[in-house]
Amino acid sequence: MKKLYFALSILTMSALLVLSCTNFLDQAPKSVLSTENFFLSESDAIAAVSAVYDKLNKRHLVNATAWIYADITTPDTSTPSAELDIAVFDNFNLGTSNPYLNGNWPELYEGITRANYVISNLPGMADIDNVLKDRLLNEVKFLRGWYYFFLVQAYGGVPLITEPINISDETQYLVPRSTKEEVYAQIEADFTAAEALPATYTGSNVGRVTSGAAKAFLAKAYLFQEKWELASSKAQEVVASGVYQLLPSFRDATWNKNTLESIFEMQSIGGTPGWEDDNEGNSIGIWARPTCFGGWGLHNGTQDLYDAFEDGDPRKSYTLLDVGEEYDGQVLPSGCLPDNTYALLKLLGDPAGGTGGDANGSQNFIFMRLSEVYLMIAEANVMIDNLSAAENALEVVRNRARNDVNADAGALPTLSGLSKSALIDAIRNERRVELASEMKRFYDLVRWGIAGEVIRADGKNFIDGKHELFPIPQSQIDISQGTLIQNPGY
Amino acid sequence: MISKLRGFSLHRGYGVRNIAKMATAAILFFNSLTAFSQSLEITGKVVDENNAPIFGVTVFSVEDSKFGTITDFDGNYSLIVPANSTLRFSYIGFQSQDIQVMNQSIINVTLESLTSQLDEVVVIGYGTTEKKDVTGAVSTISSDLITQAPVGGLEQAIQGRVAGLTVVQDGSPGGSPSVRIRGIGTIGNNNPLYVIDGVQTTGGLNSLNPGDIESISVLKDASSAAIYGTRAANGVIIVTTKRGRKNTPTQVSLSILNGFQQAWKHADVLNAPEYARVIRESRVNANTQRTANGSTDLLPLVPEFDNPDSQVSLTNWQDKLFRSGHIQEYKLDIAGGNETTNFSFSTSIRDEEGIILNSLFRRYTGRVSLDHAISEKLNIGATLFYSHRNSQGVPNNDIWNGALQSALTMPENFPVRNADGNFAAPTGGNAGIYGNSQNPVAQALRSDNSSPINRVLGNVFSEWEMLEGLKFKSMYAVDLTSSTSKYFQPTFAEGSRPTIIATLSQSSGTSSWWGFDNTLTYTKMFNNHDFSLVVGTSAQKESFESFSSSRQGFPEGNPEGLRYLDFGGQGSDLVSGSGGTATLLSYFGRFGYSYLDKYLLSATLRRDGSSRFTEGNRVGTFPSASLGWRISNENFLNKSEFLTNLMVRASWGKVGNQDVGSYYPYVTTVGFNNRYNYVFNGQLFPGAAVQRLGNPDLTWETTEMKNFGIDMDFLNSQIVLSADYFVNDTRDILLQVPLPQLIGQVQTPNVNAGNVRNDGLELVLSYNSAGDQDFNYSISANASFLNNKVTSLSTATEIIANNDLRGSDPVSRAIVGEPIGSFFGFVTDGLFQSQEEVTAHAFQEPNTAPGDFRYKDLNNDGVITGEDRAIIGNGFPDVTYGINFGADYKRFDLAVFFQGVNGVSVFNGLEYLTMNNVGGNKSAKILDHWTPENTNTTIPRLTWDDPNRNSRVSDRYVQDASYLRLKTVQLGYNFGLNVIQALGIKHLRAYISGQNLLTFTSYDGLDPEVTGSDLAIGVDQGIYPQARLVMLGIDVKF
Repeated sequence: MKKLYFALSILTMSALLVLSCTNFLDQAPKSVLSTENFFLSESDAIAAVSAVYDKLNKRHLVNATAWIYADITTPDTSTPSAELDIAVFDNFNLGTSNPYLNGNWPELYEGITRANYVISNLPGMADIDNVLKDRLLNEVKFLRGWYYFFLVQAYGGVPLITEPINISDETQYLVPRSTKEEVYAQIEADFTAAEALPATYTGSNVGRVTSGAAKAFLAKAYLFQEKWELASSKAQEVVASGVYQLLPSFRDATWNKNTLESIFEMQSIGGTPGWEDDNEGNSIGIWARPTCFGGWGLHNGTQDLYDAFEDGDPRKSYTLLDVGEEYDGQVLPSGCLPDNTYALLKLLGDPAGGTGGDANGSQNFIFMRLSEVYLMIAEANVMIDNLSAAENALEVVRNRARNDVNADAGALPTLSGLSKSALIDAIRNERRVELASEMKRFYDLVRWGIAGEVIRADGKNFIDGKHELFPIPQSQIDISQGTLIQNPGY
Repeated sequence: MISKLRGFSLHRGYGVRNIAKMATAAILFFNSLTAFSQSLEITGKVVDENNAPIFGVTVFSVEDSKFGTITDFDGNYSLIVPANSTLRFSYIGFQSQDIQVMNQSIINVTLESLTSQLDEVVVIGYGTTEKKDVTGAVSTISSDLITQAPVGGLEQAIQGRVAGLTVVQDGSPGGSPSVRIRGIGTIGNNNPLYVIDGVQTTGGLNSLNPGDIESISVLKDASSAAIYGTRAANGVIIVTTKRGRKNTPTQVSLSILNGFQQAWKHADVLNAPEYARVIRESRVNANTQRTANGSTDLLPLVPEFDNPDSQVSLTNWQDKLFRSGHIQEYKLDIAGGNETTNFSFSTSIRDEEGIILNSLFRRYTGRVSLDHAISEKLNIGATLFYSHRNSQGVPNNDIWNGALQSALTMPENFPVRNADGNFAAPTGGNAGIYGNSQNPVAQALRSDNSSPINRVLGNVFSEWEMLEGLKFKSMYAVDLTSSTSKYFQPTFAEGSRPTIIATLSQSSGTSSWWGFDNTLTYTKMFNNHDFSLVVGTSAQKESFESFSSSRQGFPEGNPEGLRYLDFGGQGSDLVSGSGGTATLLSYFGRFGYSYLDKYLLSATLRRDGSSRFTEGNRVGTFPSASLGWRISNENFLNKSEFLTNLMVRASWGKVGNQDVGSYYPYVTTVGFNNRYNYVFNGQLFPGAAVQRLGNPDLTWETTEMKNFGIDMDFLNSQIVLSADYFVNDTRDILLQVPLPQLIGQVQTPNVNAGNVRNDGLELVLSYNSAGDQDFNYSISANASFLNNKVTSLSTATEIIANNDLRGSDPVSRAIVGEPIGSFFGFVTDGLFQSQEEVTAHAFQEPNTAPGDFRYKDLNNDGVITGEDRAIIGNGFPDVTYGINFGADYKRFDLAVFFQGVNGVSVFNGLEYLTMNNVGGNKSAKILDHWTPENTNTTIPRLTWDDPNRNSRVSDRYVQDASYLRLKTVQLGYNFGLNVIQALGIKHLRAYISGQNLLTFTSYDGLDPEVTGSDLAIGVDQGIYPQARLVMLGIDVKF
């Protein structure tokens, strides 16, 4: 009996030992930060906003997709036919399994999600200076508008999400597509709010969204909706602000970082670790860099673009590099690029910014320059029959090119007294050669209604009523339980 | 004797004094020898009741056990013992005998067996039972079967040995095969729970040395596994290691294995002239079609390919990449014991060169176990196991980066190295025509990665018989792993996508687990009632901590001596680190009862609490019960000579799974990551974003298991037959349900949603010949038939796996009503033979032409779109089986083991790659492509552009991968007494062993055994072919 009691007491003690660790099962989370513990300090807010900008520098947004959608599809640029995933954009043979089609949608919506997270959490933050708070809020609104602008140009009307989604409520993510008009209304609201941003920044804030950027993109949004008066007046505000100037050198305007002409740029720096999307370097250059210069040679200018420049136009040699010409101390040999193609110098950028090898160059990419603002003024005004205002704006752009050190004498004469339709053509062509390879061409052709005509003339199989828009990824159509309808023809 | 020699020293040279000392020592030594003059040499033979010789019987002098030996293969022994010794004959499973040595010189002994096969002890959860009393579904594997295959890993060794246990290998040295018990129950972790000397773990088994294992019990149903509660949903494998035995003279065993392994198969690809012709023709065809469409943009033709026959095959890449790998293994075991203590010690080294260049696996292990009886009622024991392993090689089953994939897509026109000594690869404008292929030899040789892992498993326990029948056992077990890895990616210049910046990543992590189990066992027998009761608690804690760092930009030329972080570019630092802890607290009990050994009942109950879930969702209760009826003990069947056992069993129970992947799935997390950073005016700004959505309502998965079984034993286990039918329903499975990308790229939370059903039949049959002196044999076979079906998936109708093949649609998905990991794609319907056929069929693509695939219009809407896809197969086998044949004749022993799988499909991703890769080498099958002259074929026309997108994921690539393998053959010879005595040892066996000697399969890929994640089961992205091994071995016992 004694033994039994002794035994039982040992047993009880050990059982109690185990049971006494009552909080044995309460393990506080390690190495995870919960949303309750975030947005408490100024640096949290700045970090959250940086993550919204971060999406500008991704392969499936700007670094590859933007030019694949906007330039490869047009007669302006091409890719070697062996690169099948990109070549299908050249000849509009788009299938549901293309990585560039499938990767773009989620990148844009992640940008929007991050913006919505900031917009809903930032106002409630206590520990932050109000001026900084408002500025950060408006920066993020601009970016949200910018991402929606990309979506509406590429896909048409899309689901409008303006608040963080609570996934226990499926109506918040099974959202149908809004109309194009509704999306533009949201874009206009966001850009308008951002007009309150500072006009300029200094030091390490250079590169953030400015008031001028908001106005310029608002003007562009108006232009795309053919709201010509609004476009013209908003664009004039950018010019009138006096913040921006056309640089005398087209080279400097397209190669240098954060110049007086630049209104909004993707900021980059080489040497940060990681591959492509993980680093903060420029990953656009390496696609366009010829293989004999150590790049991938997958984005080249065409003969068609080459021929579009007027005689003596210095911008041709600043945009396209031909066989026998020099870049970064090397001469482009023949056979390096496919026949009748050229290297795209704007995308290669300033050689001092590094080779861009390993997708980590130091050059920026310019989304909006003052010369585009002038071209918008020209285009808006000609459409409302203010021919002289249009001609004046057009002249500003041509004048800069004409006075470039590399221009031929007598090149790019002043255009005046043209008929409306001839002026429209002249403005469109000027837009093409001034902004060549800056990831805009396809959307211009579409909004002018001439995409089919121009692209079919190049021998490509563009189907009207289908190919003006890109298909929404099939997996997203499938998972939407019927709320998302695919674009016609796909 | 030794003490008298203490003053003797060799260092001082050979003076007279020293010679005197030496002489003294010699005399004393010889004196002691003469003490032996009173010894006898005894020989004899030990047999069992059937007069069959027993090999391995320990024969030793009770007075001084250093005089001992063991019987040889014929049962013979020979021993010199002092006169008047008592000789003891002892062997496990037999009654020991003591015989006094007088002056006889021959002592023959017949040993009586203690038990029959049915009384064999089987290890079950927290206890043992006799095999005949098992009412659940438990299978065992003995140590000689485990060591029969000359492989390095435990999982490989048990493949095919147990019905319902499927192992799929991955072919790489030191690789991780997938082990599944009774199918796949969940989308997450399907690994069974391994209990190794009390340590509970689910992975890292290639740290263990299979030679250390005494036995393995596989607990397949709920009644046997439920006592492990929330870790048991995928079944439990209990591993018991060797411990030595009391009252046994020390035995030293040495085992040496040496051999080679090679890939058993190479793929058939085009040679250089064929390649040139195929590329040229595909480009010409594309241009013809483009011209017909009015385009002037034509593909340039490669001038060298104008005369295809002038191309020369310079390199057979598979020959260069595969090699004969040398394997060697050395094992030393020492075990023994006296009346109170037994111990075992073992150490092993395995060094294995893989079948691919520059791949290898190395493992060193050391183990000590000790058991001591402090008193008759109190035992203590401890075990310590240490293992160091390391492996190196190129990625396996990786369609993007594998060297194997490069070997198949790199054309043969290239040499391995150019004249300047650098590796050759396609560069320049024509690189695309050559598929932008990488040089596989360069990839393999350049690979510089190593991940040494050090693991310690240990336990300390005590067992105390407090009262008669009442035992208290307490055990503390630990599992500590420390791993580091170093991966250097060098720069290289060859090829069209060279790497110009080198990267070094290093990481280090430790993970630890400890478990504290306390159980109280009570057994009581009276009249014909037999009771047993086990109650206990178990507390477990696991945690990990790791950090990693990397730098880019290393000195030119990648010098090996400078592959350290110090030499990487300043400012390119990338560091990260994390950690976590999870705990589990459980209470359990098992009650067993049997009456007259005829009616048996067993019931268990376990209650678990897990830290991974929030309060209120933490606790789960897992009951089980099983019944058995031994019909053969009923009066109408009793005393039957023929039918020694007939038992029917039924069981039911619930087990759980709490393995969510993250330790804190309930938290919505925000994170910083260099991926979110941005730069303003050249200055880096860190970014933070929401990473994962949490689910505070998350709780266990539960599996309800039912099992019905029948066991039949004839002629005293000469013939054994066993059948089990089971139905397992897994509910509330933990799923990351995919949501529309409108929510962003956050990781969606885990939810409890979805059910999966596994049901099937297992059969086991074995036959042991009655055996005579010279010849004995046995045959056993097992087969298991399994059906798997996803029965529901909450809101989603399907879950799509992440396994696209270089940008194709994902191949696999889980769909309600189909097995997990079904293949999904288009359905082909032959090739179009004429343009009329193209027009008559539903619209596919604008430029579809004769020779292209016709895809079925499944929804009859006249257009082939994404809606026209369907389930095209799945990777679940209909039946897996194993057949083992063992025989011994005189001194020879032979074991032959076949293993096979029938009725299984594989999506041949490697064929997909080599038929659709634009540019690059192709499968030789493409030579049978469609032309207007060659219309009777399944291979579509050659065209560079592929306007019809013949490269879609379709049933074209789904193949039958049924196979039968001659898995293991081992032929051994046991040397006779004369040789053994001459060498002064106790036993010597030499053998030759082969693994994967023959494979019968109609599958085209490199190997029909394809591992992968469970959601993507059966997709071959270029898996290493299994190695064919031939090894020579020697076992010596001292």
